[in-house]
Amino acid sequence: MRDPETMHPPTSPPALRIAGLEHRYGTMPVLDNVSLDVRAGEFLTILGPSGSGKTTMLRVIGGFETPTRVDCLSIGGIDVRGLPANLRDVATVFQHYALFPHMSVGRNVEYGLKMRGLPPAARRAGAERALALVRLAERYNGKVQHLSGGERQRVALARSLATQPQILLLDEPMSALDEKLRREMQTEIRALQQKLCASFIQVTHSQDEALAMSDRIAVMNKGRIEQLGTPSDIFVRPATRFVAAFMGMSNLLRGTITGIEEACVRIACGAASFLGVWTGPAAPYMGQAVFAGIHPIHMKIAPPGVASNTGNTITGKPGSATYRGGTTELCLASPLGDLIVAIQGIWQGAETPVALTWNWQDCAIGPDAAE
Amino acid sequence: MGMALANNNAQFRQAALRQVRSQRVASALAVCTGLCMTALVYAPVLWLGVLSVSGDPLGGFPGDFTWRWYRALFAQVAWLAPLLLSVRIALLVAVLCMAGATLAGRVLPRMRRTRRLLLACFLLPLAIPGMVIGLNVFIFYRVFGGLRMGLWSLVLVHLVGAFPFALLGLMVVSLRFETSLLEAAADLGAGPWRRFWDIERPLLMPGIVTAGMFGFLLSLTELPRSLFVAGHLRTLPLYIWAEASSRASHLPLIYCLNTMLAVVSTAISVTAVLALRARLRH
Repeated sequence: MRDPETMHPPTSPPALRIAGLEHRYGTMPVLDNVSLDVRAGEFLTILGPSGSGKTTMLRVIGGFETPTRVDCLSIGGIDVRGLPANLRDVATVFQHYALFPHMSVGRNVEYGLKMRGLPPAARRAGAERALALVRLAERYNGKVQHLSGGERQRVALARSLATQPQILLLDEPMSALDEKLRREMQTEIRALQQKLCASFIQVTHSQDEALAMSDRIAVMNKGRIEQLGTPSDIFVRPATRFVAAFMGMSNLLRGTITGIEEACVRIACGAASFLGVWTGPAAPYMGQAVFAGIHPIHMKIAPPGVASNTGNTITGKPGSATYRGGTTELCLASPLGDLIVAIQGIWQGAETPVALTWNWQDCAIGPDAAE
Repeated sequence: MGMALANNNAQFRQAALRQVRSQRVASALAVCTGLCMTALVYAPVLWLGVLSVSGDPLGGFPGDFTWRWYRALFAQVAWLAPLLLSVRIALLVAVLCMAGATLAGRVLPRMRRTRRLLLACFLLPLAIPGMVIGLNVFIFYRVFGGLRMGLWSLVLVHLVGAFPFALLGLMVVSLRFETSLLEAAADLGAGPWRRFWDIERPLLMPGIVTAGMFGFLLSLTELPRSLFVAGHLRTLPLYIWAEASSRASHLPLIYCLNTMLAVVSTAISVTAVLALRARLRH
């Protein structure tokens, strides 16, 4: 549909630039000095728990909320501070889609083009193109009430895409869909974004969606961006304890740094000592209080009698097991507290202690928040 | 619990049966109440209709059916001017009710702190007897506002009487209105006016029409508020009231007039509701 080279030459301004964004409800800060750049053609996900300020952020970008203070807020190089929503070149896919119930599918999709003063024929053509993108071209005359949940979402997508906005904003787009449809739509929306080379900003609380769809993820907590990076960065190299916990690193330990090498750091954790990768934003120092996080899928039960040569080994006594379909999460009581390991298939082992092991590359070590 | 239920299977069944029976009784009661209310309202209307084509309506029993009274009614046109005046006032009140109820009713649900207070203010006139309102306008606005008694004073008191109902009729719809639709429209480039015209107006239309109908029908048949403020004008209810109380010989004609009024106002209401439903289904 659009050519990426002509759409986004290297010198083009960022799709979105935010600097020094602050927002309060009364005295309660919702957004705390947030800055963020989104490149043209990028899929960025703002990920965080409810109350982290992620939806407010999206509403500020869309123009539905006027921030308490913002130093820079530009969309496609245009300063949009003070501009109302209808004068900004962004489009939002709302959480519950907000399709106009008294208009047909086609008229819903045409609406943005109508507001831009296009003649009826051009509107119709644009709406049909947009509907074809989401594979609903034949529903042009259909009623909104007759659409299924997935179709509604695709119509909402088409309606927002029809105006070819600088940025498409998606507010928890999958929250109203069932699990199977959610997976399909993740793939479909990502494919659409890549096909159009458009800039998408998605807000979600689901790490699954964030990992599966994004070029970059911004993890938000208490009105701040805790970490901004690629999905694999965020997943394997969380910079803070919060990000580690939020991304599913159930095994979170506290320790102090006892050795710093070029590639790794060594920490003392109770009586145990092991290696990991430094993920914190600032350089580590000796004696620093740190967290260490390991995903359950990166932990393994060592075969009996075989000593691990990685050095990262600990014994634990198997406890409760939770079946997760592909894997089983086994809880082990270790000297460092409860640890969780994800094993393939169903757990049929005994309750005798086993040795747990992991690669030092899979252990993220960063500054402890309590510091 | 499960064991207990299984052991007392017969008892359990009886309890279930009792529940089903009590639900049936409740439904039957609802139907009966509805039928009784309808009968209470329409039986006199039907009776009036039957009497209006009877030879001696004042005798109180139908018989000797004739169109005589209708012919007499149409032979003299003294009631025509009051009817036209009433329709004119009712139309004005209907338009004002639609506009006012829309202006107030669309924003009231979105207000947080002031909503209850404002709504109470709007609905308070319901608590003041109509006659008192008429008298108040007569002794207050005539003296301090220089309001002359006539068309506009009638419109004013009718509006005061009908507006709370019109507002409630609109809010039934506006309370369910999803404001995210307005955000979606703004997001697609619609300014404030287009948002109202394209989204709010069509979706609130059932409420707006309801508001207009309340205004029209309540104004058309309004008597107590009109008594003091009509000046030299005579609305249809005032005319009927005066004729009925002063000239017994005209009473049969009043039966005819009232029958026609009942038929026409029912027809208007039913048509409006049907039209609205057709529109909504569309």
